[in-house]
Amino acid sequence: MSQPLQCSPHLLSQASVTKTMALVLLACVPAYGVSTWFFGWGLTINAILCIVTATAVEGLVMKLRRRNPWAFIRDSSALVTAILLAFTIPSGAPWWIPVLGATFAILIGKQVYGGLGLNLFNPAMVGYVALLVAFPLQMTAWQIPGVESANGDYANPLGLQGLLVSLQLSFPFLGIAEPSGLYAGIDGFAKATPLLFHKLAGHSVLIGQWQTEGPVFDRSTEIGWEWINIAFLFGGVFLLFKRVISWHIPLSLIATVIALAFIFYQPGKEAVYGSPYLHLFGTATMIGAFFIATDPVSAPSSPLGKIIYGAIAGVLIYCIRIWGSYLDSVGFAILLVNGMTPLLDYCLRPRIFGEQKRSLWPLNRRTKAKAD
Amino acid sequence: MNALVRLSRRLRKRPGYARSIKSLVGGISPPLEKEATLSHPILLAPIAQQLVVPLEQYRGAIATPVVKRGEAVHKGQVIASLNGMNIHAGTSGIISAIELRPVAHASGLLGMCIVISADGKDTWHPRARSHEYSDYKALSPELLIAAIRDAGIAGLGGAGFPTHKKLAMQNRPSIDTLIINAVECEPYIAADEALLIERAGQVVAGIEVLCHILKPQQCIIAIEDSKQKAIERLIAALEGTVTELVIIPTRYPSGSEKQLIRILTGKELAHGQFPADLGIHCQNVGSCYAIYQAIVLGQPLVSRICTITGSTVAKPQNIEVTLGTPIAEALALCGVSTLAECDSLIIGGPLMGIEIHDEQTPITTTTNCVIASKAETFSQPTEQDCIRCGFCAQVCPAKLLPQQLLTASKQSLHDQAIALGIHDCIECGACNYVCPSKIPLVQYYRAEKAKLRKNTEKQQRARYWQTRFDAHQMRVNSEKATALDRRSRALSARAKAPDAPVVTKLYDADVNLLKNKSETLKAAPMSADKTKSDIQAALLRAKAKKAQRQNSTAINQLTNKPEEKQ
Repeated sequence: MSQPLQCSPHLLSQASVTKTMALVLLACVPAYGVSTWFFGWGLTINAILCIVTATAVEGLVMKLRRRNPWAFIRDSSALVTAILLAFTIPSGAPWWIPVLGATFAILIGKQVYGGLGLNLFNPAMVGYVALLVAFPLQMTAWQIPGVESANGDYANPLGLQGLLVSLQLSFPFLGIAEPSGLYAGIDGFAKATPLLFHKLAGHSVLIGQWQTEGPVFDRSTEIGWEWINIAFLFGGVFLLFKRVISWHIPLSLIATVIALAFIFYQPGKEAVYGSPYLHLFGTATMIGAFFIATDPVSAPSSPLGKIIYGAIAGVLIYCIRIWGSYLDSVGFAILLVNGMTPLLDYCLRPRIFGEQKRSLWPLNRRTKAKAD
Repeated sequence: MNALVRLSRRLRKRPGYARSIKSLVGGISPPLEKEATLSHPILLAPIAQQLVVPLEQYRGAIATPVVKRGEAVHKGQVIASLNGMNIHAGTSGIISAIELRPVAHASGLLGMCIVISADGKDTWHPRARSHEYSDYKALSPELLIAAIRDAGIAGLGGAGFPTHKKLAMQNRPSIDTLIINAVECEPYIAADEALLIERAGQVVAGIEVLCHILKPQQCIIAIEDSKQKAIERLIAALEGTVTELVIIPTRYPSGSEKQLIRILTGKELAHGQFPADLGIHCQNVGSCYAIYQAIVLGQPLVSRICTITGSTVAKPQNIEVTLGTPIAEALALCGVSTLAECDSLIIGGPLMGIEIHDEQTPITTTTNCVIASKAETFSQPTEQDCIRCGFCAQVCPAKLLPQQLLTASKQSLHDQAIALGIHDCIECGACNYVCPSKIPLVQYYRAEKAKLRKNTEKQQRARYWQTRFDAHQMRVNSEKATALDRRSRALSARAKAPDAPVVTKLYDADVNLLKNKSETLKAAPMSADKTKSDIQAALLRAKAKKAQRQNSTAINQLTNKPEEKQ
């Protein structure tokens, strides 16, 4: 008896947590590319800061919990949290914003509950909302270096100058870029998400550009946001195709947002309620629907539960966005529905094979089982 | 995509696509790994030196040997019997032992076996190959069922349920659908497929016998669309019969009885229901072949087709092997030079099979496959945390929520596990297969099921002893009451006697007391209040005693103190 006998099944698939997470990261690549094209190096700097912090915190906590830190860092779930958090942090935020956010996400959002798979709330959103509530100024100013400098000449944000400016913005103590010109440029061209812009104007810039056959890759913030959402949609469809996520949550969430946007849509009053197009592509709806709400840990596991979860998230996203005081609402909405997941999981169990009908409230079955 | 292909084939009237079928709930598509064994014809394995026939049959029922050690037996002679179901000698020889030997069981425990040392002549018992049933169409179903029982046929597919028992479920509604299962959906196993490729005609003859016994309104033979060669042979063999061929998509576990019934008829078997309750009867193609042998050839079940495969097997193939042949012999036949190479030996498929230690374990009626492989082929990586990805729920053919079930099983939340349907789990291993965290889910479910079984047994035992105790209490009380009754009657009789006037008063009081006591005992022999008050009184008494004791010790201490000082 050289080894203990193994229990069936002996054959296992090649799937692994690391591979699943790698697919999610791969699906983020288009959005990362678009974001970098429009907003410069800011996202890269934020992502690096988030990844380093998240990995360090994850390893440290695992060390404290006397478990092998490498095994947990290797599953790269902290990496996914860090990347998703980095997407939500504005380019040009000072260095301590991503560091604080990632620490909060991993420590309070995940490890406090017992680590991977046990957290009630999406860690990236916990980090994001904590930052948004604590540092609203830094979290809403998207500072784009170099689109047009103060003296009128055009500078490429991906060029060396753009990189230096981005670094200067992230690490204000460095003093590597010329401060005066820099700040002049930024004060002139800092722009928030299109929602803010939209509350003043109210139309899609990208469609406008398309209609007038204008440059659709022009580095303007509004077009940038629309392109990032299209990139997230693309990545989300890739995840659906790879069966990493199921269609239930994204479909019901997006359908709910579209439905509400159509119900409240009043031509001429876009500045108040926004157009359906803006709700989908001018905001964080796509990353929310495909990347955040579908986080399996904090979402229900039954198909019907997922559909209800997505619909509630959609309603909350719309309501907080329109009647709330925050500009975008995906983070709050998803954290709120996360809290409903255990209830949805408990109440909405699928009909078991051979059962006549679904028992909606499982307690009935339990007592019945006891009576038998 | 697959649905479109099916539809186009159906519209073009390709055989096997006429019936509209339901798709499998969940399920997985692991690599099949069957080509290697199917490239060779079925090899007739020579008789081994020694045959080991386990006495344990379906679900722990143990057959009684009817031979003694040292007795000479012929091939096909009855050596053991279980309620009329016979076990036959696989070859002629001498019973060399009836002893504990390793058997194919997940526990790895030994089982009682009859060991036959072959004499090499392989002579048939004179009565074994009678052709008395060959003209079965003129015989009654009962007679044929008895013949099947005598031939010792047990389901050759998986569980090994005795075929005659299945056929003889008379109290059930009459069977209208006969389903012949040729799906064989588990990877590696190709015994049924090989059987159909080479002996489809005989299998169909066996199906005819079953149709004669059950007289179903429809007879369906279901096969997966990946088994093209077998399908061709079946189409040819089914020419002129009423049996309908249904080709179903290749997906594990379509071959499971409950799942196959749903695919073919749309009906779902509820928990605890038998297929016969829905008027359905299922048989495996291997059993059909065995029935053909038993009825048409008059030959008892002494051999079966078994797939020998795995990474250490040089010539993976299907062999027709005598029951009782040790696995080591079968492996040697297929080119396993040294058994030391085989790190893992699996009987059955890689998803539901059991791993065994001892290569001397015999091949039995249910051994459809032996997989001998290196350790890395089926290595079990370390378990990681569940990320609730839900892949398990997507593939579960019983529509369970494996991940919630895992939590309930791990934490021994028995009520919750039952509510989540742990008893509906068929242990197919699909959830385990897809799990990215490599959690051995099925293992946890098995452990939980065992705990539940143990609990039920415990409860049943407790209930039994409770009834016995109650009965005892009643008896004791009633005896007491009658004794008191008798005494009071005797006393009152004496009191009424004229020659004892002096003690009357005293006796009266006594009699009343006794009467009251017996009445209370009669009225409430097990009264809870009384027990409670008794307990309270006892407690008070104990308290008083304790207080007294404490007082006395205190006094002692007081009195002792001066002594200590001295």
